[in-house]
Amino acid sequence: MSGDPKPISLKELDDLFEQVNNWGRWGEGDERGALNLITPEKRRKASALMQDGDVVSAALPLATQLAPENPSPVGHYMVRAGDLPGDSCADYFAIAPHGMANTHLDALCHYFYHGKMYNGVPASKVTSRGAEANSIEVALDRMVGRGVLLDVARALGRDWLEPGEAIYIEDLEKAEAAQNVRVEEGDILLVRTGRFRRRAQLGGWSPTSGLAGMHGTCMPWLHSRGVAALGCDGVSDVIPSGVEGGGVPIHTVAIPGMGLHLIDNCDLEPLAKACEEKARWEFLFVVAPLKLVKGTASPVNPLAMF
Amino acid sequence: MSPQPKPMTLDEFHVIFEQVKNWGRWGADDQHGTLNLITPEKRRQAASLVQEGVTVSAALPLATEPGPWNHAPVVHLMVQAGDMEEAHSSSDYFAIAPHGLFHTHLDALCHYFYRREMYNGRPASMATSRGATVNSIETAQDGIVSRGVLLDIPRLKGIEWLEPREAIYPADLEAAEEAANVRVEEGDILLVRTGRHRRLEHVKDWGLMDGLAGLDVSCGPWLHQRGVAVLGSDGVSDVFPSPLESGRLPVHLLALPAMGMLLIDNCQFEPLGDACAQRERWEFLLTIAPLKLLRGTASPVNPIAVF
Repeated sequence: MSGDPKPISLKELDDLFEQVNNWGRWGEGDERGALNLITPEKRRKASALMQDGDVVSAALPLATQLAPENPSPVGHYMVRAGDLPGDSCADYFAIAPHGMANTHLDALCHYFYHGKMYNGVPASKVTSRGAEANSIEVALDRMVGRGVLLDVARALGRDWLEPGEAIYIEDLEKAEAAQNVRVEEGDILLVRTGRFRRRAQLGGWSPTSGLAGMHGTCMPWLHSRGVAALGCDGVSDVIPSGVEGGGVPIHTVAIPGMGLHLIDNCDLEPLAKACEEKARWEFLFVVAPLKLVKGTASPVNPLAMF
Repeated sequence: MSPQPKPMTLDEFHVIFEQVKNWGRWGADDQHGTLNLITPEKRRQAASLVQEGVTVSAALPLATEPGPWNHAPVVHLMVQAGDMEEAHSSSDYFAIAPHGLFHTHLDALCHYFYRREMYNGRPASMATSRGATVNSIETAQDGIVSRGVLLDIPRLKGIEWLEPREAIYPADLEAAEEAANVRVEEGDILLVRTGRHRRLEHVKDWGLMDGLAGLDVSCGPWLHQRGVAVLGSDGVSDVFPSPLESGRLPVHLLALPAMGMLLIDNCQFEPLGDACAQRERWEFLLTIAPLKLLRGTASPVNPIAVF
């Protein structure tokens, strides 16, 4: 049952890491991690889910205004504009993709566990000049597959989960049962907490003080189901997480341990509505990260196709 | 047929502009232009082209090194890195000016003005110094998904690449169609390969002043008549230097303000050309997912073809 997060000791966190560890599973040099589970066959089947020809975006607008959730807004400067002399307009964007305001894909270099990245690569390979391993480039054209939305808020009969409310395995399975869908190997899983419905009704808040998300103990479930990538309208992790000393275990353990790419801060409201209308929570899902050389993340506009 | 385009006066150009103009075609307030030609049925058919589940990206790396093609390199700064003491995570910051000649990007309809007007007759002044209030990249924020067709002009001519300044004419597009046994139809995303990036691998001493291959202005009415929804190129669709009296880019002018056709500039078509040739299949599901850049004039993109 959802509720305040159960505590996780650092020893328990190490145990969780070992349970979900994929190091070596796809070879020593592998940098794709769980994206390996999206096979051509999986993609072929996923494309058959596009029956209506409808496309729904799961991206927030890249926010250019300061807000409690957005301490480093996107900079947007016009280089040329139509209220100036000239015959074209052009612009310039400055984007720090991480954080809790922008829809972005985390690369596997984003978090280190005891000084190591996915597949045991030392953290020092992410230098001040960029990531020499496990960078965002790996995901370039890999994230085309079946997307499944588990609308946990809906399954619990609520408009949204409250900030700090944790989702446990039984909640994920409750959503599966309510939606008559089962998360399978190679799926890109999206978990809705209703964050942006809450924001639309009650206004913004600082997510560092509380954000609904999955409890760290969901990780073995994600691992056993073979989730290839994970997205959320929050940041997948519940905040606070219950981990001794604080932290975001799905980021610190699943990214380096499972090799799990995370899509943070998706806008799942239009997608949840589309799923409900169609009574179908599976779709062809495409995430197209920019080819940001040696990058630790990319802003993305994930597309669900029905 | 001459490989280099004939000079064209502004008066001659204006006749073509009027001929292909889609203003009012989808309503006085429309900002989607030829994206209107991509129907749900078209998307459904495009998805049925996925037979193998194999993906190919058409994006260049967002280049951080300056060069003759890249006067505005992407800035990449690390905010946190693993070679710092006791680091637990890494994060970074990017500054991107998407337009120009080296970043794979989608042009919004506001990008080019013709006689101080944008697509659908909107005044250029609506693309303000605080961003484009109409015809911005937001109009494509729900993604562009349709059938992609690659017309690989050099491959079908049996050469490695087109030379700089070399123009592609409607007859070349039709010869490529015939050789590939494919026909460009309404709602397609048309991709035209010139071999630019193969040439760049071999010819290092080459910059914009030497020229760039692209479509002749006479292709404008052809694109219009076929109902192309989006046009992409490994160059910038236009030939350099421009044959137009003013030096402006005629294909950009016909596509963006006249037809309301979004352009994808600077694609990487080498892997895609190879993938098509291997399969002898020049059509595929193509997805383009521009970032939701509010009031933006472009977005860097990573177009993904799925076979």
